[in-house]
Amino acid sequence: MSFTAERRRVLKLIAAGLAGGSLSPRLLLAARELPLTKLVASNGRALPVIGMGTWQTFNVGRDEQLRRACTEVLAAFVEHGGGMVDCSPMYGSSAAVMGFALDQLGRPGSVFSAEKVWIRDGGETRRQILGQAAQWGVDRFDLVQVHNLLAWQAHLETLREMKQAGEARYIGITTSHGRRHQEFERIMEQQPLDFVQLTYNITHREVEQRLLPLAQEKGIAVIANRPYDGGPLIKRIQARHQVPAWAAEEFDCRNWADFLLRFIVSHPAVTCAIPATTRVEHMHENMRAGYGPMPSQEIRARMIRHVESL
Amino acid sequence: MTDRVAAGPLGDSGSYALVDFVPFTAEVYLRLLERVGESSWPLHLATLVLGVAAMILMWRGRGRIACVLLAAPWAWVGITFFEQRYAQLNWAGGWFAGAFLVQAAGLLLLAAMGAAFDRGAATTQRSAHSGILQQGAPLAGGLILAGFGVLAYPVIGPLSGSALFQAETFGIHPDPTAVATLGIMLVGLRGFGLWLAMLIPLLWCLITGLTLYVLDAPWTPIPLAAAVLAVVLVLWKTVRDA
Repeated sequence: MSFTAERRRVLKLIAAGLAGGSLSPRLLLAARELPLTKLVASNGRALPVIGMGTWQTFNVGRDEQLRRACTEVLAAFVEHGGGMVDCSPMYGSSAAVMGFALDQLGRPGSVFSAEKVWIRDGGETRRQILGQAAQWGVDRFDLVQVHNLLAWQAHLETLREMKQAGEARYIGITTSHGRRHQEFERIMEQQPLDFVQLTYNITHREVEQRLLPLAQEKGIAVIANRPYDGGPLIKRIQARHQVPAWAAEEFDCRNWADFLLRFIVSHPAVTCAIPATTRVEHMHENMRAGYGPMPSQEIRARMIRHVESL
Repeated sequence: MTDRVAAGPLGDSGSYALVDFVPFTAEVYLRLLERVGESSWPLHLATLVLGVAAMILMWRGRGRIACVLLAAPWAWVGITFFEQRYAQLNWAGGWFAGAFLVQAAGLLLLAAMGAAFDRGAATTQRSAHSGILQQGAPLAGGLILAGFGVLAYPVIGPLSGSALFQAETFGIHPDPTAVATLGIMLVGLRGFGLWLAMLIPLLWCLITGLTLYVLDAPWTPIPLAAAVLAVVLVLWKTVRDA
């Protein structure tokens, strides 16, 4: 990159930071080669805005060949300073594969371990979390979430105890596919939470109405799952359309991963997005989206109009 | 097994979509088929012979022996495919293993009791070269389904661009085992016993069809079409025999 281009890029980064209306005041502008981060309100830890999910992608069982492929994907994530890695007991062998990959990579310190509890029996919270921790090879998780609100009352009570005892740093709840938002909102209003995880992408924006403003109001960090709507969104759009030229000019958008991910993480309430992939080149693309300048409020509106017109 | 997925969920069914029940990618599923295929070779040859033998024996009225022969691949697939490998990927794997073992036990029970066998099929095929025509669509359809499950299923994967060991084989992989069993049951059973013997194979065809649909596999319609054809034929046979 030429000096002029680099200067333009830095100016855009600054401009994006000053845009105010579109970006959280907590947004930290990183120097080149450092990913953009946002702070978790409840204790101020900075998290890179692009994390990674493991649904389907890390569930490869004991297949050595595929385990090595997963390790390469995680290596690319870590190479870019990646933070949040999200997993769940629902994801089959993903936790064990994550433990394998972390071992292979020498337990990189940047990884922020996010797990879930997913079991009907509200008395099994601690046992399941400890089981998952053993598979990851960690003493405790940075974040434990109640998956899909399953038995959330009992699990949250135990998670609060675990947090107080230092057995988990943060706690939260999750939903996806836009399900059970009313109940989700009530829990956000009534329970002390550090994180919520929900589906938010350029074609699924229902959470902008109530959940994201509420998260901002309550100082709850937000993880956006299904940033590519499970994959079809980016596959469909990439196959048929070029990234608009104005997006490159406005926020240095190089590809559809930039376009779709920066739309999500430029929302002031969103802390990070967690795309999942099995391919190293896609991981690089995803992570590069976390380095660029972010679109302003006006540009975000234009992005929506553009995608709706396709 | 230490890394078998703990039996799971689920709570409110409204919190889940079809895709939530398929926690792996198409690549992983194909690798699973391949690993099972590789580790089982050359057992494929024996299971193919066994499948053809079960089909012929059932047609010739030796239904009890056919059921005993069929029980072995159901138990084998339940243990080696579901319990030992699939259960690493999906909490439901243990349940599927159990269902396949139940089917194996059910087939052995049918063989022991000697009940529910359709003597008509054997009689007509011995008495006249037009036996299949006399027995009509259920017998013909059953033979076609069974032949398809045993002999044609292995070529579907390779024809769709998969590796050779990803070829699904009767007695090694669940889909051809279920499809062939549907056909063989149609050939030689009748009445309530026929419905009962077809229940688990039909359910598996539905489950695998939905799984393949989520994975966007080119051969998604095959197990679903086999199940629909089997239901039509068993209804036909039930009405005819009533």
